[in-house]
Amino acid sequence: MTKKYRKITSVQLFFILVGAIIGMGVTSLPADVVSISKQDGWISVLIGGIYPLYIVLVGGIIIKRRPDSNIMDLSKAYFGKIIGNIFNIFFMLTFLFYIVLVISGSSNQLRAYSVYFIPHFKLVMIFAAVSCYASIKGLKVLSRLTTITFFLLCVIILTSSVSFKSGSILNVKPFFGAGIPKILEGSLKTNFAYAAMELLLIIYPYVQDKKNILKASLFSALVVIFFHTWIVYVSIYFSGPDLILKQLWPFSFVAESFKIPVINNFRFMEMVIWIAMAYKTMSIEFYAATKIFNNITKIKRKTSCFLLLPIIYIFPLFLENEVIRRDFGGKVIPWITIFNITYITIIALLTLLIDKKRLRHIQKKGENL
Amino acid sequence: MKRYSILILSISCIFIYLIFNSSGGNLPIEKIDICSGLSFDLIASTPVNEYNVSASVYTFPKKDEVSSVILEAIGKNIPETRSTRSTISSKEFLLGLQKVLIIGEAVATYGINPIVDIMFSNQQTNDSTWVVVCKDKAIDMLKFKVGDATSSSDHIDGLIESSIEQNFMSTEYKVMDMYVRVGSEGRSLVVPYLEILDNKIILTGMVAFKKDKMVAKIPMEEARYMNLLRENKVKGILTLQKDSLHLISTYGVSNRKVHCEKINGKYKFTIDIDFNGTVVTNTMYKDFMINPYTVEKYCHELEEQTKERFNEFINNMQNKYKVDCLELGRDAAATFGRNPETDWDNIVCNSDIKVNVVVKVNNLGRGQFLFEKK
Repeated sequence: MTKKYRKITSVQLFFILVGAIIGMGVTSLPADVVSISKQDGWISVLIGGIYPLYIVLVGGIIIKRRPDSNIMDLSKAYFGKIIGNIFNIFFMLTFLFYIVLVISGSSNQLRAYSVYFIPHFKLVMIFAAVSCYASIKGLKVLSRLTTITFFLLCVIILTSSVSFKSGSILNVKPFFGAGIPKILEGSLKTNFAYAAMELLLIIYPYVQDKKNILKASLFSALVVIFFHTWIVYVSIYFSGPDLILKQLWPFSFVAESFKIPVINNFRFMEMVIWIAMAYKTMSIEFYAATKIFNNITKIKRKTSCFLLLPIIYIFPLFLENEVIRRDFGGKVIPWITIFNITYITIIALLTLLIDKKRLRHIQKKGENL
Repeated sequence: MKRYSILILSISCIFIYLIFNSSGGNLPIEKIDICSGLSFDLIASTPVNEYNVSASVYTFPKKDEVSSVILEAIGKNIPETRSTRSTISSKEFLLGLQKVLIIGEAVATYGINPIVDIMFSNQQTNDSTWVVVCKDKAIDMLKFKVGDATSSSDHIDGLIESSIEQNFMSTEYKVMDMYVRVGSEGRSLVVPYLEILDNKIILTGMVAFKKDKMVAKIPMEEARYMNLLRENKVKGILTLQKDSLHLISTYGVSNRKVHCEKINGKYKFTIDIDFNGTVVTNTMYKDFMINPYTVEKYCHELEEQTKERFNEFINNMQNKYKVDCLELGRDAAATFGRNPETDWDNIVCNSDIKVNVVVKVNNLGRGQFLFEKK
């Protein structure tokens, strides 16, 4: 009974994966991409979607072969306890790094747009406390949180389409005008926006209907790619490639384009929604980090939440300046992405190879008997 | 467990209150200077030019009564005027509900980049504020008392907002449009030009900017044709007149399309203007109601006349103003690729611009009073 209660459905898996990837950071995604691939930034984002799709497809091999164990167990089984745990620690650090970036980024954006009277450390305190609290509650609660926020995200995406009236297609033209090499170079900038798909490999044993895992995660990757492309396209369509570069959060500028009679400015409505989105992203990533920590040290997950809390409170305090945060993130994130891709690819390859060996081993045993 | 949770909840409530109770609380409206308009002036002096940035703010002297005062501030740069302004005001200054930015002609010719930048980085400002350029000193216009309006900025707000009905004016004279146009490739800023004449604030024309500097003042008669060439879906009247007793006017909506070609490295632009409208008055042709051929003949005559005016304007633009006020560079950049170093003003002024006009009359109103059956 209790075990079944803990499990999530494949639909909830879809919501969790979308929620883990799309956070408040997407508002700055257009600026990152357009700085290299100009008006074709949205094509870069479309190409950058290969990263989550690759993770899902490679993860699919692992899920099919080993449906009941997660990636941490597998790496311990393949590399031995010490080397496997070192890899797991790195894997945990990537998630902690994402949370640090997300918390400081959300705080920076909120202080720039709406709550400029609250100092950085207080906002970080709230974010850290909420993400800790939500991740203590476990996967089931997180799945409900992400279900609600997914529909809030849809509200933002739908309302942004109103700006089609005030923008112009001329801002996006000419298609492929920046040149294919620039577009490909720009797609590398989307790594951070597409990060956290690796979460699938941690939580897949907790899904009830194993058959639909791959379908749900593939679908979530496609939805994420669509949302990201839409966000970048609308931003370029609305403000043009020249103005996007001058802003820190270009997608928030789109919200200024329309007035609602009673509410003078849609900006604050959108900010309220983005806060909920930020909470959810942090909570899921913190859940993933504590889950790995729990796997390495065998300390209860609830306790490990409190043990890791100082990390996600102290480190964001150093990233109070948005320029420093982007510089720091830009230097570290390529390495994290390379590590994640190689780690998951190696585990998947080993799953393919070692299974055969075991089969032989079992057959030999059978012959002996 | 339940007892504990109540205890934790109440303690955390107190804790959160103590942490976040740092702000001074809410201020009553009487203690805030709500800004309704800003004016920018340049005072030429050595060694650095000084800015005069004044704000018109609402005051609430009695119950249900609103009036306005001007807070004048002079400084070496725009941020310094904020400090100066606070030394003369007794209340907290609130930016965000302002309706209009009045830019003096001197600032506009000197360059509006400092204004654009300070508005752009300020998160509190309202992006749907109108931008206008005024003759002489902007502060005089801000101080100007107009009839029953609370302040002149309220009056200008209404003036620009309602101007879309005539003269082919568009609504794109906001701060947000200023951000989009100044500094974007192939685009140019055009804003209304206001003057005080006969004790009235009058919209006498448009001004065109090259990057962030004002380069041309275009009188209203010419600006009508510029707007028609520049904007899509704008309203106004076109008149065909022989003398003061024989004329036909049509009020309608325009539709603009631009094609761009590149022949031997030279650009060639074709602007197609469709004008659909209602005949407002007709004192020229007597058989307008029964004879479709006369209507066609009229349309053709109007097309020819409008084309002539367009060519006059384009000629002026290419030789006198020397700036791309029709945003043709934008279409060319969208077709042939972007390159921030291209000087579209120069290219457009040396290129071949052709205008095609199609006039369609789809309504004659209630009828024609001077109708005569032959």
